[in-house]
Amino acid sequence: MSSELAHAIEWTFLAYFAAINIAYLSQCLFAVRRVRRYLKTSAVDDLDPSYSTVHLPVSLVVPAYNESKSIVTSVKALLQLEYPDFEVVVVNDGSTDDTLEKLIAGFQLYLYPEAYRRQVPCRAIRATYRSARYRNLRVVSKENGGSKADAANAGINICRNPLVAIVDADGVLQRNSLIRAVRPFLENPDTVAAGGAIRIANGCRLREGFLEEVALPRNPLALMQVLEYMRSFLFGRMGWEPLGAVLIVSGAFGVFRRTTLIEVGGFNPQAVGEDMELIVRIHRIMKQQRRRYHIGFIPDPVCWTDAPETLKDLGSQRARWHHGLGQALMLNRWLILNPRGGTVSWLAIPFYVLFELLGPVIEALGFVFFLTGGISGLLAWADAGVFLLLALSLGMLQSVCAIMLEEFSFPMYRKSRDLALLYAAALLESFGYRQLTVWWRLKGLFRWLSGRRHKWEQITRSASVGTG
Amino acid sequence: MLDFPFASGFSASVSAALWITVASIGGSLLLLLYTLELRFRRRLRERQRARVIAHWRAIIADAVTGNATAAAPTLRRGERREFLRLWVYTRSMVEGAAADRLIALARSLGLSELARRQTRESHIGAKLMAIQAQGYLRDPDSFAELAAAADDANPLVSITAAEALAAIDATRAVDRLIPKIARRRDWPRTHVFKVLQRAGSAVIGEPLYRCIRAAADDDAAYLLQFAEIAEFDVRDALAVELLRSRDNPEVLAAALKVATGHTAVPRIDELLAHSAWYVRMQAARFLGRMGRAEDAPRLEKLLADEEWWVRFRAAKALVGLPGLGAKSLEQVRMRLIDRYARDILGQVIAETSTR
Repeated sequence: MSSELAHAIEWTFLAYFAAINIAYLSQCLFAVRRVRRYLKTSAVDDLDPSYSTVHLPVSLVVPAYNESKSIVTSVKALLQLEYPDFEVVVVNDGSTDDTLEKLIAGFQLYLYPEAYRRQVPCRAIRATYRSARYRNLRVVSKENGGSKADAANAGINICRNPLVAIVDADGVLQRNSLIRAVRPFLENPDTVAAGGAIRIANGCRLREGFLEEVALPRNPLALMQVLEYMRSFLFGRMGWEPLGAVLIVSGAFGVFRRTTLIEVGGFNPQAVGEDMELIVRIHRIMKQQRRRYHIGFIPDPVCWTDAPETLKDLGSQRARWHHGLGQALMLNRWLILNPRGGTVSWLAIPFYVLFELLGPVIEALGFVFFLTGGISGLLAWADAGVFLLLALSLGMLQSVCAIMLEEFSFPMYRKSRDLALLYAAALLESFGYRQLTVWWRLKGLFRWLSGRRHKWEQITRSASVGTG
Repeated sequence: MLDFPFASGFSASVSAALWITVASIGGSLLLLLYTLELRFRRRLRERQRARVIAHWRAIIADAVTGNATAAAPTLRRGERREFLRLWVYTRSMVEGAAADRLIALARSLGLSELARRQTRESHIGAKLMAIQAQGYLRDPDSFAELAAAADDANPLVSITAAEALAAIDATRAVDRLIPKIARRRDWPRTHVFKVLQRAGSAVIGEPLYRCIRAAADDDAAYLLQFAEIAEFDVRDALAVELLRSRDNPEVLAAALKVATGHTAVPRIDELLAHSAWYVRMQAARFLGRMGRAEDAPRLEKLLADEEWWVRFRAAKALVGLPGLGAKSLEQVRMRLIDRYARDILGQVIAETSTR
């Protein structure tokens, strides 16, 4: 390798760094503007209770697979949400534990002959139940479909309300999550889907399925994920929203117009990242049909989820997410640089391909290049050190932006110690954690390219979630 | 490329990297300082807010319960916004004499003028709160200003102003607002309902009737949903007239929906076989509301409809008809040949029997 080539590679990496960070920082600016506008209008929510009693009936669909430990607490919490008109449809996806028995006993379920319509594909439904205690609770027992998507589709077939919220069985919702998440549908009649910020529940104290006290997790892996979620939700998705290019509504909590779900064929049971694939498909179909539509996102923390605390669980989750990303983009490749695709085709998809999908490849190549360059003497160690420092400082800048946005919008971590911990995590994540995520994402990329399939995945729960 | 004094031997690419590094570290530090400032300001605001609330909550509570013994203290400049918020919140929860005492307290503190001033602010939260306050104060002098706000392009501002107008003078407000409703599709329907409900069914009937009769099909169908608040005779008169004179399926479905069932409507057999499923569904619901046993065969036919909602509504209507006991319904179910018809009736029977 000649030194000219080494310089050319250095410039290439520099250009890549510059491009990715300009993209992220632009997102941050868009997010700040959007959050500012959102906060101006959401001030009214605290004011007159009438503003929160909007009336768009919602069906909460809760796919559950082997959730025996927490299902009763989770469903009880869902039934207590503040919302004037909603039903809860729990879909037991052929659990091999006693999830169904727990539900039957916990809610006095009885068999009920539901004459449902099969409008989106799903495996056979064995039985439907109603609760003798809660009129707005139904439970569906179906054959295992091997994926959350299949279970969600069964719920979509069964539910009756015009809006459908898909909620993880282990997700912890805020009492006003539905009120908040339905707002985009009220404010813009073209809204077909909406999501909100998802936060990490590890370290928080729960009581009867609700959050009692917010705190940062002690587990360092979970702490790093708190920061990642802030980056991802507060300026990742919030930044795309004003451009009409939100590509993901988290599977942990998302609200959809039921007619749209049916029109696009529901969730894809073959998709690894069924949440992203659905949203990208909605974009594709709406663009192909030249229809007006809007996918909303709100910065409010609407759902708290349990983050993996072991390397094995986290690695598996990240590989799955990356696999899902590749698959979602490939399945909807019509969108890539399509003249009819607008900002989705010309900004969001290229961003996801270049910086998200191929990001780990380029980052890994960078590590290898600077390491081998340093060892072989082609690069001065000082030069390699400068590039390492560059990667670290730009990574830190993104995290600091996310912390600022959190403070600016809905600050959850009120103690000074928490703020200090977040900054420490921002500084330390470049030493090992980022490299690990690059490795896991590379594994996901490889899995996607080799065409492997994924199934329901369960992570080891942290002590706080699902108890109480 | 400018060289660093301590690293002048770097190549251009490394120098550029170093510059970007320094800039990003600088940026991070600035953002950190800004975040700390945000936190500091927020805490200050929260403390001040807690102080104001603690002070005024007791005075407002005394006004609500009628225990106020002395005149209220002067409302200081820094307290106004928080007081307004507290007052509006309390006022939204009380009626009658307590509300009158709250209004008297607000007027003694000059809240009307303050609310009018705040209505002109650009911050939407502050504006909305001020508009609500004016509605709760029921001050006729605010009517003109609120009428202008009801034309605001922002739907939240305009609908909140509409609500306030209805609270001040329902009759005047309804005359101004009803013609606007069809044009303002951006107004959340729940709020339009609230405005009309606040005005009262007796007040809205006549202007709504006039407006719907004169409206084009699309507007008529949209406005008809609000006729549900009107009195029964207005609803039935509208339904009969529209079902007789219009053919647009949206209008037909909306007219069937508002018909109370106290009066028969024209063309019912034609509507039960209409090509639009939502017209058939509303026709089935209407028969359910009419509640005549002789309509059972018509509903039975709809149980085998190709559309689930029509089958469901027909089954609901059938199960609700007088004179059809559990045994007769089971007999109806057993003689149905269509599997979908049997299933839906089975579901609705089970649903009804568990209530």
